[in-house]
Amino acid sequence: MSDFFAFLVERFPDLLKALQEHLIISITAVVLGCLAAVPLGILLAGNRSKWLHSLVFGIANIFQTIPSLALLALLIPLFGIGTKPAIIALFLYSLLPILRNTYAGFTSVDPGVIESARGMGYNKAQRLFQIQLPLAFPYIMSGIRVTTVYIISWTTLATLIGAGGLGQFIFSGMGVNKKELIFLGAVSAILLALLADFVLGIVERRVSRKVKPSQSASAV
Amino acid sequence: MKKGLLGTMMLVLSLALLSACGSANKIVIGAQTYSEVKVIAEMYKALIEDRTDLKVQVKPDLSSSPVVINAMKSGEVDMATLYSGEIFNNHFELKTEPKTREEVVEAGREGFAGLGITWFEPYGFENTYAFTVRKEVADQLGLKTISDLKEHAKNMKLGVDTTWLERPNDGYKAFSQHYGIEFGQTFPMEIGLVYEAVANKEVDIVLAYSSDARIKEFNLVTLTDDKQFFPPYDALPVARTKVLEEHPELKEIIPLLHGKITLDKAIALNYEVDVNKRSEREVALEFLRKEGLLE
Amino acid sequence: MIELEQVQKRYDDGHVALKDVNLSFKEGEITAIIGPSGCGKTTTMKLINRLINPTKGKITIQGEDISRMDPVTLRRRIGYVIQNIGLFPHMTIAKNVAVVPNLLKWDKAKIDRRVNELLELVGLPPETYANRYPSELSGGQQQRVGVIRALAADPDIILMDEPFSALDPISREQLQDELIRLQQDLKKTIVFVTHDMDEAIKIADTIVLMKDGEVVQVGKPEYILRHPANEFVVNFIGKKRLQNGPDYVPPTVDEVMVDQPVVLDPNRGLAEAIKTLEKKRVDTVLVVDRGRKLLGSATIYNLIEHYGEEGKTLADIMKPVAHTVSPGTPLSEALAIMSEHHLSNLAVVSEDNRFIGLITRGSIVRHLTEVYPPVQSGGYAYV
Repeated sequence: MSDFFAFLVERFPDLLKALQEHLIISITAVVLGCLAAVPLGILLAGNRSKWLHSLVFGIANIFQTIPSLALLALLIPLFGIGTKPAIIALFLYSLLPILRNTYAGFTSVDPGVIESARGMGYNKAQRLFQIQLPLAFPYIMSGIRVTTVYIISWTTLATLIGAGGLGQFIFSGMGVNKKELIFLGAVSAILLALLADFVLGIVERRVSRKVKPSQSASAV
Repeated sequence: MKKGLLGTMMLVLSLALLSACGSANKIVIGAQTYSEVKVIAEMYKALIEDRTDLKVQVKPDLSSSPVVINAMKSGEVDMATLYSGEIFNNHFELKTEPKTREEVVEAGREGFAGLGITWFEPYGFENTYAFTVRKEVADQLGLKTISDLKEHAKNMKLGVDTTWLERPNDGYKAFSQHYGIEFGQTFPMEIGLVYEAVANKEVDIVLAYSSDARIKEFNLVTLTDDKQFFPPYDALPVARTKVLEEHPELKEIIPLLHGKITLDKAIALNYEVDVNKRSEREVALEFLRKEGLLE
Repeated sequence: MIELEQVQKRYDDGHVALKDVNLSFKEGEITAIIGPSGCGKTTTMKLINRLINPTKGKITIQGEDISRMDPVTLRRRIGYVIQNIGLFPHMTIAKNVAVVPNLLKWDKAKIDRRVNELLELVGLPPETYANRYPSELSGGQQQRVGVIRALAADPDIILMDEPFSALDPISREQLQDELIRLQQDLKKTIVFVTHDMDEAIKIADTIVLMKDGEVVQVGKPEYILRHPANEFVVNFIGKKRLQNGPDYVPPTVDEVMVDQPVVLDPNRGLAEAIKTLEKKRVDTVLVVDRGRKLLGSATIYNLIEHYGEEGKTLADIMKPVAHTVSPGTPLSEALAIMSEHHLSNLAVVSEDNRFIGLITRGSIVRHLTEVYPPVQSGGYAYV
């Protein structure tokens, strides 16, 4: 155990560098995912054409089912190696869960509330930002949290295409048969994912507390 | 290239799927991610199945030599191809300081015997680490040897495989000390990607594998190891000692490839697979027939 | 105040919601629009705040054609209350009430004053309720908030779409009363959609009856009750409600009484009597002799009082029945007697004091359910 600790101290600067690379890739991918998927989800929730739904969800679903490694590989001829294809691949992955949750959040808003808002004189933008978005937010937040955790895990593969990150420790550890390296990489990635889950979980709970589930007046 | 990546995924799957080699008539040949090794594995499969009633299963795309060695130690892989320089990767304690090709092979034979793995005579080619740049860059900066990199290295982006940065004796740290050279940025990645990476200018210089056909294909130039940092890496077949005892017929078959694969032939095999995109099996069979080892 | 001229509404799928509607809503009055579901009452109401636009026809408010106005601005001038209340769950009560004033950009102090004033008005003290969330309030309280939210910006017109239908009967009644009370002070023009005839009769100044997208009758409640325009109206308001119509027959005690009440003979012991009360779930037992002549009655209190005296029988502790009525007595007379003497039940006996039946509170209520039958499709039954 003390050996590992000494090892940790020795490799600390490398760990920080890898951590930084890892975070940049994961966070950029998730942020881009949100920027794309949230408006898309809002659009779909307000839209009634079935074929549009099927199309969008279908495409996002396809990206999901492609094994991450394959997706990384497919993007290389287009984007080269390094952080760019990594971020793009992970961004494509993040689409479906965030999209789905945004959609669910918006469709969960009590239609009575929206009708009320409309009838009282909220225009479309006001309805969106003051009523629907706050009410849908817990769902969206939940989607973001789940996506972040699992993007952090998948980012460990980014090292294979030259993007660095915590995966570097894992793969090189396997390559030189050094268990401490594998351990360092794996545990760091896990801790990072848990930390993200924890922090975003707090945000999610705080937001949900404000929004009480809407109750119908029926007391019969 | 794509195969290498998918292969790493295969690693996880294969290790999970490798059932105990309880099957008495089955031989498992493990292969790393580079084409020459996979082709050789297919060659052995063809030879063994042709000359004995043993069945052979090839497990390709194991991510690195240490992974292969571990698999052999745990009995999940029976035969493989290793490179003699692997002895410097801390698998056993080196009692001597082998320098020449023959010394390295000998040291390896001795050391690995203690791990239950028997080393056979090499095929006849080396696959060593090679610093490789684009031809224009070599011409422009006047690069012929590794020492020529001294002033330029700190401005260069280096692409390497996933383990070189961590290798103890023939890795980056030791290299830096030996040559007094440090690179501006290092990018570890699946080895199959480095060739295109340097050809497309994503990186300035890569540490390629010397028998790879893509060096020529992408018009790349290899720098000479003038200070002789890298040890020899003779490719040779290895097998679990126990398996050889159970199936002594293998001892006749394995040496059949001794000396049959020169560097040019190895590059040609790689070329067929990596550039012409033919299957390893097809290329293996063609080779064996040409050499008269198979009908 | 509000005029609908030759209004038609036809949907894309061909469904005609409103055929040819001409209506006038008087200023300062509560107009109830009532009818079976699908008659177009909600559609009519929604034309006023342009949640729905007519296919043909003109709608004016104080002479101005509303199709020329910006719908959003229009809606901020009109109060709107819906059945599901639609309070915003993520806002406090105070914020909910302040919604329209905020949209109209009143200054904060004015808004706070107004919110507090309104909360007090409906009996929800601001200190307690202003910072609560809707989910913490009961249905009745929520709907009160819904109503004052509609009043917040002091609009001249308020639209209410079955606002009390989803509440329990007690809350409903309270809110109806409160609305009437508020209206006395505020004198707003209120358009109130309901399917409950009693509600309409109770609160409306004018009733508009609709069927299949057309107006069937318009008039004061009293007028409609006495002069229903056609068979549909007659059925809709319920036969027995027509108090002074030609067919009216006042009910007698015979229709209302329970003819199988709990009777025991005088020799029964107290414990037995209590057991019977428990079994039949009543609070009084009538003591009759073998010829079914009424001798007296004993309540549960009487029984408990004397319970300790083991040897006692009903004969010992029963009290004489002071008041009875004979069969054929009008119900109103019986009820008057019960009211005057504070009786919870009244025995109906024949001339020779033979016990025939008992009028209880429960039996009265049951009778009422027959008087006020469920209104045509979608009506509401009192229990």
